[in-house]
Amino acid sequence: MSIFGQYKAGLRDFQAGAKSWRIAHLLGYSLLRQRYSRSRLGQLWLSLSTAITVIAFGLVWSLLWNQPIKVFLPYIAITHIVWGLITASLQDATTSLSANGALFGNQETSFATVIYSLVYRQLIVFAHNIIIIIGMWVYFKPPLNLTLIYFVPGLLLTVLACVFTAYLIALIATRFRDVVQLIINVIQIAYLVTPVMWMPEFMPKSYNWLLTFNPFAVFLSLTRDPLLGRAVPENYWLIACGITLTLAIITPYLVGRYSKRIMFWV
Amino acid sequence: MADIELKNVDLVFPVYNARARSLRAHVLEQLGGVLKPQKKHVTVQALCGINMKLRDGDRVGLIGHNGAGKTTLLRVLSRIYPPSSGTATIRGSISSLTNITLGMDPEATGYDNILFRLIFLGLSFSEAKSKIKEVAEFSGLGDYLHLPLRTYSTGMALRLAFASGTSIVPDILVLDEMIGAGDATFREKSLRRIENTLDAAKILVLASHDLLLLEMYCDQIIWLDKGKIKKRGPTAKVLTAYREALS
Repeated sequence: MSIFGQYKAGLRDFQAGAKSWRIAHLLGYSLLRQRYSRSRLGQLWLSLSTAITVIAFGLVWSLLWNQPIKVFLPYIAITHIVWGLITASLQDATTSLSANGALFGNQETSFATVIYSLVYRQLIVFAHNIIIIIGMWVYFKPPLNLTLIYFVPGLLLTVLACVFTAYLIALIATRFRDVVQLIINVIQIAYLVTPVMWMPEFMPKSYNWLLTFNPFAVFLSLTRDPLLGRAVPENYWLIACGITLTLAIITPYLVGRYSKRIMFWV
Repeated sequence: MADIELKNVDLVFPVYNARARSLRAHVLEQLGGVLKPQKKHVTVQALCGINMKLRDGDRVGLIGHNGAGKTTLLRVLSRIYPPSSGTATIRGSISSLTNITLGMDPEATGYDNILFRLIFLGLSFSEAKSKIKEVAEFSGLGDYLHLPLRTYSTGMALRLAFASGTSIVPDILVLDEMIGAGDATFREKSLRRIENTLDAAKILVLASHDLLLLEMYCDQIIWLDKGKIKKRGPTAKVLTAYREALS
């Protein structure tokens, strides 16, 4: 098959996955339902435990960094929520295909279905956390402005990139099981070198360009900064589009190229 | 219309051990490093040169001892395994009642689980909702359907799965061993229901070790041995040869 033919075969898998969105919905939702099914507060725990974590983080870090709580706590809170949205699906992706082996072995199912379910699940979690973001707005009154609109394209681009990256990770990690551990470590290091617990301003200005080489920092800024009334560095949009486009070429190509073998890696 | 055509289908399973799954070994291999890891991983030839053509109305039984390739062939017919070489053309909706509890959630109610099963079988939400009543009635679980599935006994859960799974008639029905569920009264009911489904499906492929069952439901038999078709033809003829070979 030609390279182009393989690419098209890969895209067909993405399409087939979209057609079985109902299964993706059930898969994505089932874990959340099971986790909170017998607790009295139920899914409220999703928002509650995030709130507890981010407020604790925000308080401790603002003391350690000697920053005003009014600015730093909402920053830490919203950053962590967005960080979870970006990285949780990537981490889940490593074992997602083998975990759903029973599904793939029972009926013809496109692998994209499971990938969609991972990202969808994080979107549900994010939706539960919106209440915290609103709480931060009401209580701390960050300098929100019209740039808030940019949150929408930022989120869309991030979700798109997440889907492609999660699928790519799933492919590699299913074939090479060492990659599962590798990814976990990469995400842990990314947590340190990305402005999650600190602000980009803490870096000396002359080193700020380093962040443009960190895709986590770029996508995090795209989705988070509008929510805090902060300005997204201009070149970040271009970089994010470039990364997403590259992934949109590589991932479907690999899916198509290995489509005959993926089932046997699971 | 449903039809199945396999041309010269081979299926080779790669068996991955820790070494074949190791990224380091793979990179070294690509670089031609000094440490020469074994180039080839172990493979299992599960199917070899399978040719078959099935049309509407065909009722096919698959026989062969364990490891002969029955389940693998069923999975090729269900479009789960792509052939390693050769072509498989399969047209029509497929249902394999192999894992009939797939997608069920112990924390959800019986009603919800019926819905989940029907969605996994490919229905839309509105189609599934319109079928729930019939499935619920057939399952005979009554008010238990309002309780979470985890409170059910194994038999009750199976009844629910069976009732849901057999409520849809696919073009191609693929069965790995006959299924049935429940106690004596339900058994009879379920037998009638599965027979209806078997009759209504356009193509039936049934793998089984129960020769009497195959005689009842199949008009042709494919005998697999070590991944190859050893013999095929009308049920009586092939089964006689098979019985002779066994004794």
